[in-house]
Amino acid sequence: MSSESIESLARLKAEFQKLPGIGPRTAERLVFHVLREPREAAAALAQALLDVKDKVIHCRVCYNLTETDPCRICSDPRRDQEEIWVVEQPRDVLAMESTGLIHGAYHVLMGHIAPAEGIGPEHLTLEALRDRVRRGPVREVVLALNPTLEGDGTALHVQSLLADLAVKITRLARGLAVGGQLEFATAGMLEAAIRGRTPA
Amino acid sequence: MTILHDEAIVLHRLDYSETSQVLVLFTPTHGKVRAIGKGIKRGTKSRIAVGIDLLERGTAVFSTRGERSETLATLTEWKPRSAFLGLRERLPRLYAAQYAAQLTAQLTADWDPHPALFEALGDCLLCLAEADEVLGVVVAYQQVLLREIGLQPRFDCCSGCGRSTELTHFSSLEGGLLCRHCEPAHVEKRELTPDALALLRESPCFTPSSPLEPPRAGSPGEAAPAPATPAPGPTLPSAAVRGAFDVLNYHIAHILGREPQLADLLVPPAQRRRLH
Repeated sequence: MSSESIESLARLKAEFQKLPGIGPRTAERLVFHVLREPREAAAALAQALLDVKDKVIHCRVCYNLTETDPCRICSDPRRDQEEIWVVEQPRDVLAMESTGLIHGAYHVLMGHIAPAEGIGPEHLTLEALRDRVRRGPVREVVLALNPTLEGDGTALHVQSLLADLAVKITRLARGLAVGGQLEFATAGMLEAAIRGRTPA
Repeated sequence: MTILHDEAIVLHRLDYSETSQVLVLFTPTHGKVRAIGKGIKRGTKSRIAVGIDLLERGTAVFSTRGERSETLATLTEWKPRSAFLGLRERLPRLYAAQYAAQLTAQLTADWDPHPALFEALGDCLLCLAEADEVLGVVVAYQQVLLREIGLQPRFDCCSGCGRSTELTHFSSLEGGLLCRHCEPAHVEKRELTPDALALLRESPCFTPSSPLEPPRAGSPGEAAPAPATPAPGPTLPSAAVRGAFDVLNYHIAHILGREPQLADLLVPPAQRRRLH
């Protein structure tokens, strides 16, 4: 029996297939998994999906995803709110938090500047970042953007945007991967490492 | 299935699924090639370096159903040679390089090789990565690009009467200059200063401090003082360079049927009349 012959199964399969990385076979497996599970499990899945859409919002301070406004990080008194880590996407906050090394706050730009694709500074939360730094007190802005051409272009734009404000602007180091070997490093990695070398 | 090896510069990059990207590569012997790099964002492929970036130059191996195939080629190997990191130090450099790449992508056809243009693009990116004044380098690249695609305007005499004096305007439709006597009969035209014209008649040349750049301040022969710190920002282009850029960009806009997207970032619209 194919799932296409039963309308509700076909509909659920079509919905699963809209998700990234889900093809027809995986979608069908998921459909039959849902079918095997008790009704409560299906209801919990449906409720979880609705909760994500209904409850998750952008923090008005840092634009990270949150259920409370301001978010947990922005309202945490143990966090150093004078140190702002600027990232491109909410997913980057998770990556940075996983290091356990960040004690400051974040600012999510919601993308990067890509003029060739029609994405300009006005499409990002850059003005909100400037306002936040201007209102202060902010001691340091750390640009933790992707080391791509667009990420570096966005970093340059942020630097020029904050140039007239009394704030220290730093960027993440780049170059060789920890645990890597020089002979296997690409020319770009080596060039970045040579340009960004630090006192031993 | 044909396996092709070539050098390449990445002109455009588009995310395709979670881990794959579609790349537009400009190569010297196969021209512009569209290829899919499966799983390249994940960086688990041993023959492809992690993350292929825009404007990166490298050596590519791709498989295709045959040269000139209309389907996407598959990138199977990528060995980066240069990422032109100097471009990322100043916004004007970055915008100028993206402008050059975008024009190359828009004005060349797939599988149509232009080895000289490939070299010129490589030289252009190399110069821009160190340039103080980027517009002169862009003008040189615009000239080479138009020559290579066979749409270079004539800058020696009037397109209407052949006169070589009193050349005051440029017409894209006429493919060249108009003299003071012929220009009133044409609606589509652009004013051109003698300085800009002199510059457009020079052979394009790529150097970080382009010969198109105006002489720096100071007495002739006087050695420039060594800066104590790196230059704080880019040098402003001269009016002649801006004029030459304006005319070539105007001509390119006519060919494309629209204004190149990044032109406004190189010379603000207030300093440049837009295409009507």
